[in-house]
Amino acid sequence: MNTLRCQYVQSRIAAFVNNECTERERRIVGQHLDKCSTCEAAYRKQRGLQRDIKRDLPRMGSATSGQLNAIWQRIEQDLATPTPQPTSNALRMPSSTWHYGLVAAMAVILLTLAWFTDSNSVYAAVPSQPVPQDVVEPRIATPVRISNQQSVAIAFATEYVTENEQTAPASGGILHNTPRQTPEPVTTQTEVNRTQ
Amino acid sequence: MLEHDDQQQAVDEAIIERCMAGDQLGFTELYERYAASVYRLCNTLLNTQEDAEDVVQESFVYAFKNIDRFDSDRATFKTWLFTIAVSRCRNMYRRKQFPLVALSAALQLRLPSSSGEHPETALAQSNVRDAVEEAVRSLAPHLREPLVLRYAHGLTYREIAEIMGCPQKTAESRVRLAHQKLRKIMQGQGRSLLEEILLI
Ligand SMILES: [Zn+2]
Repeated sequence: MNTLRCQYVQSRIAAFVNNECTERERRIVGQHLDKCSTCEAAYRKQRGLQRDIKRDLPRMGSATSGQLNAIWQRIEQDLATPTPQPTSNALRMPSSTWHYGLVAAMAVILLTLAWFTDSNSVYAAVPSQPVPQDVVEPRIATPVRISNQQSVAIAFATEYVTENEQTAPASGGILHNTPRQTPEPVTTQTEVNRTQ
Repeated sequence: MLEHDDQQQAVDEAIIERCMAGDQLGFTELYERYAASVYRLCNTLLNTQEDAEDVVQESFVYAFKNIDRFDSDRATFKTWLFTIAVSRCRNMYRRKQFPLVALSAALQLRLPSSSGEHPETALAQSNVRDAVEEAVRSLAPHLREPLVLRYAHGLTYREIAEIMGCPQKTAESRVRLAHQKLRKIMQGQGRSLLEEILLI
């Protein structure tokens, strides 16, 4: 980075690549890139990174249909179970682990404070749409689970499944009586288009 | 808004009406329409698949139990659902205080060996994908969220702002900041790899 102009241009390169510059910024950056090889190299790297992000991020973290089916079964189970009364069970501990629990709780509080301090500008803004009322409360009750489904989640990281390959959740559950084996092709496609 | 968004929204609203009228098959349809993207969102924001599965489950259960609170004048079903999921992911970060990925170790392991002058393209591509994924996972949540919503889910800044509960300008500047950080991370950690791949 050689000059103040280089510093400025490099601070605007991400915005430049994203088409988020003002007309004036775009002109300044563009003109400088024509004559500065250092900044031009930084620009090409940013463009390459942008290309990688756009290509790789939509594939990151995809589920297998088996995972989605397993989650659906848990959801059905949850919906069939009467809503538990809020209790503080999760906060009660056996007396022998009480001291460890206290230490852990203090640590969590300190870390949480640090987290809030670190990102206090992040969540301070007023939401522009209603956030569901209980969403921000820590969930106290343990989610209902079907025990043998934990193992479904293994070895998934390398398997990328696009959304239109997703099969329908298992049928015959609590919520519905009619078997339903295929996803809706039109709407699934829409979802896929949307994310590309 | 693009036309297919409008269509998608109209279909959602019709399904939701059926749900509210007691047609339970509607819930299955909503799950089929959104489970994959909600899962992908949660699994990108959280560090373990188990946490992602829990949050997906909780989010749909909440949405379904509170479907009558959904107001189509104020949000699309998708942004409403994503708002629920992101809030629950945030609860999960707070509970878990997950450590940021040890990036240097992760990336260096994936660098092609320096003895090979030209790494095979497929290997190199997969290395870049891993590197991008690791770098994204190393971002702080308030930067990771908008980046993922923008590039993995193609949402507009307005939608991102709705979901994150922040002004639109903030969403835009965070995406920019996330970009800068990613670039720094990837340049710092995988410099030779990036130069080989990105400058083709
Ligand atoms: Zn320069």
